[in-house]
Formats: sequence, structure tokens, C-alpha cells
Amino acid sequence: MTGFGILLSPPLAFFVFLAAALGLYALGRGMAPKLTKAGGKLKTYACGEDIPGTKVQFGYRLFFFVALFFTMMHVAVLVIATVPSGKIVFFALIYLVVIVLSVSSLITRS
Amino acid sequence: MILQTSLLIGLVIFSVLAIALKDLLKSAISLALASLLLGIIFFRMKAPYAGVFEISVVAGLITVLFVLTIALTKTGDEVRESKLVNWVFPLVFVAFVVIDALVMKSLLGKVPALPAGAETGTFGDVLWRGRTLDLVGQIAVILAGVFAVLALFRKRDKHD
Amino acid sequence: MTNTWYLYLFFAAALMGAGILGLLGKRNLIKLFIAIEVIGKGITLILIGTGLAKASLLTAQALAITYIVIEVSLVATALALIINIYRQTKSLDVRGLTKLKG
Repeated sequence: MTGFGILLSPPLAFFVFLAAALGLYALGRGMAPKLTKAGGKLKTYACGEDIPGTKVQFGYRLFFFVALFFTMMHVAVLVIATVPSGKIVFFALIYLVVIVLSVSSLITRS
Repeated sequence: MILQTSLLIGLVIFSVLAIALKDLLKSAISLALASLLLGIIFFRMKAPYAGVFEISVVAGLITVLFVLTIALTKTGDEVRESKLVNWVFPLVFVAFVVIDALVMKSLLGKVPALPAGAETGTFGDVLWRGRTLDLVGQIAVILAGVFAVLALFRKRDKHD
Repeated sequence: MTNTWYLYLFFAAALMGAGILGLLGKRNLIKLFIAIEVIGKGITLILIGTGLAKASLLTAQALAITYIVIEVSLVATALALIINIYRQTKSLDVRGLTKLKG
């Protein structure tokens, strides 16, 4: 395996892109002005007006549904990606239809 | 081989940390790290498809679901684990590993290798032609999981 | 080739042992479920390791992928159940679920 081939192998590419993302993050932190924890900067809306804190009911249902929707689509795409050519493609279409059914019921019933 | 063994040792260490750590968020993160190491082990065992699934699905998406659940159930009072278990768990685990090593050493080469049928074609052929019924089971389980979540998070009736 | 098989068997058994000990000792519901996940990792490792030793790696990968897909549904359902239990009892303790205790 040549040098470029090793660099493109999936586990190593994961770490390369992780390092790239962390580098971008560090760059942004370096460019931003330093945070001073003083005055109105820690208020909810930094407009000089005190807003009385209220306990917010967290919208948990939609978060869970969106996470589940994303998970199902990801799994379905990964499985469909391995389908070979031939008559078996019709079975893959059935798989896809059932996935679409479950995902659409997830959207409409949420 | 040495690299593979150290990866496996790291996998076991992160899994034990995921069970033993007190902070739930830290244990979810170490579970994700254990999945990542397992995926790398699969890549090194020349099983790239299983590695891709392990890293992207188990280490990525399931961790998101765990962190979401931990954020939703955060509260002031924590579950008090029994003090005895915190002491006994590492000791029993070390004893288990020693017994495991002894048994594996005594079994070395004793278990006969069953003949396996020759495999032909690509991975897609084996999965879609050889194990078609597994895929039927997969879609059935996905459908059942979606309906179970929908039933568990049902909207309240107006009467309540 | 079979000697490496015993290596994978050893580590898979260690993972399953850790998961079972966690299931026996812990009281937090999310901790119990993490222990089940650790057992699942041991099972996936044993599948792929056996496939490598018996030269049937493609079938082993197909089985592992089916397990992972099922695991996703299992995780979603179980975590939804845990959230509902938390909203019902305001705690994640399994001992809070024994309503029939004399």
C-alpha cells in the first residue's frame, strides 16, 4: 500500500477528519474575542432587561422522534448500499417501501 | 498481532469503565469509545462492512440516543448504588478474567474446527441472496420498533 | 489461525462477564442498559472472530449487521421505556419499580 492509500483507509481517514474538525474549532476559538464573564453577558438576552426565569417544559417527544428518524434512514441507506445487481433488486425495493412506511408513520403521527 | 491485542485490551477497559463509572454521561462516552475500538478491530480483521456499521451506527447514532436520554432524565437526586458492589465488582471481574484465561489455555486446540461451506461472490451476494430471510426479519423489527416508540410517546387524550 | 480464534474468544468472554456482573450489581436503569450493550459487543466480536477462524467471514458479517440493525430498534424502544418510567416514578432506580413489595 502506498502512502496515499494508507492515508485513505477508513479508520485513519476518521482520525484525519477528526483532527481537521478540531483544528477548525481551535482556529475559531483563536479568532474570537476572549470571553469575559461579567455584566450582562451572562443574562438570557443581553439587552439590559432582567427576565424572570421560568421552568421550561423540554420538548422531549420531537427530539426523540427526529433522532429515531435519522437512525432509521441511516441504517436503511447502509443496508441498501450493499444490494447486488440482478432480480434481488425488487426485494430491495420492498425493503425500501417498508422503511418509507415506518418513517412516514413516524413523521405523521408525531 | 500486538496491535490487535492492545486494541482488544482497550476495548475491554473502556467497556468496564462504561459499566463502573458513576457519571452517566462519561459512561456513555466510554461506551462510544469502546464501539470505535471494536470497529477498528473489525477493519483489521478484514471485515470492513461490520466495521462501518459498528462505527457509524453503534458509536455514532446509539450514543446520540443515550446522551439524549441522559439529558432528558437529569435530576437532582441520583440513584445510590450499593457500596458493596463498588468494591466487589473489580475483584469478581479480575477473578473472572483469570478463570477465563485458564479455561481458554486449557481448551487451546481442543475444540475441533467444523468444516465451513465455501463462500463465493461479494458481500452483497451473501447478504441479499444467502440470507434473505434475515432481511425480512430486519424490516419487521424496524417496523415494530417504530410502532413501539410511537405507542410509548402517544399524545395524551383531550379528556386527561 | 485457530490460536487467534482463542484470543477473540477470551476477550469476548471477558466482555460478556463484565456485562453480566454489571447487570447483577447496578441499580440505575441506564447503567443496566449499558451493561446489555456491552454484552452485545461481546457477541458481535465472537461472531466476527469465529467467521475469521472458519474462513466464512462474509456470512459472519451478514449476521453481525443483522444484529446491529436489531440493536438499533432495541435501543430506541428501551430508551423510550426508560424515559416513560422516569416520568412516572421521577427516578431511575430499579428498586422503585417493585410495587408489590409487602
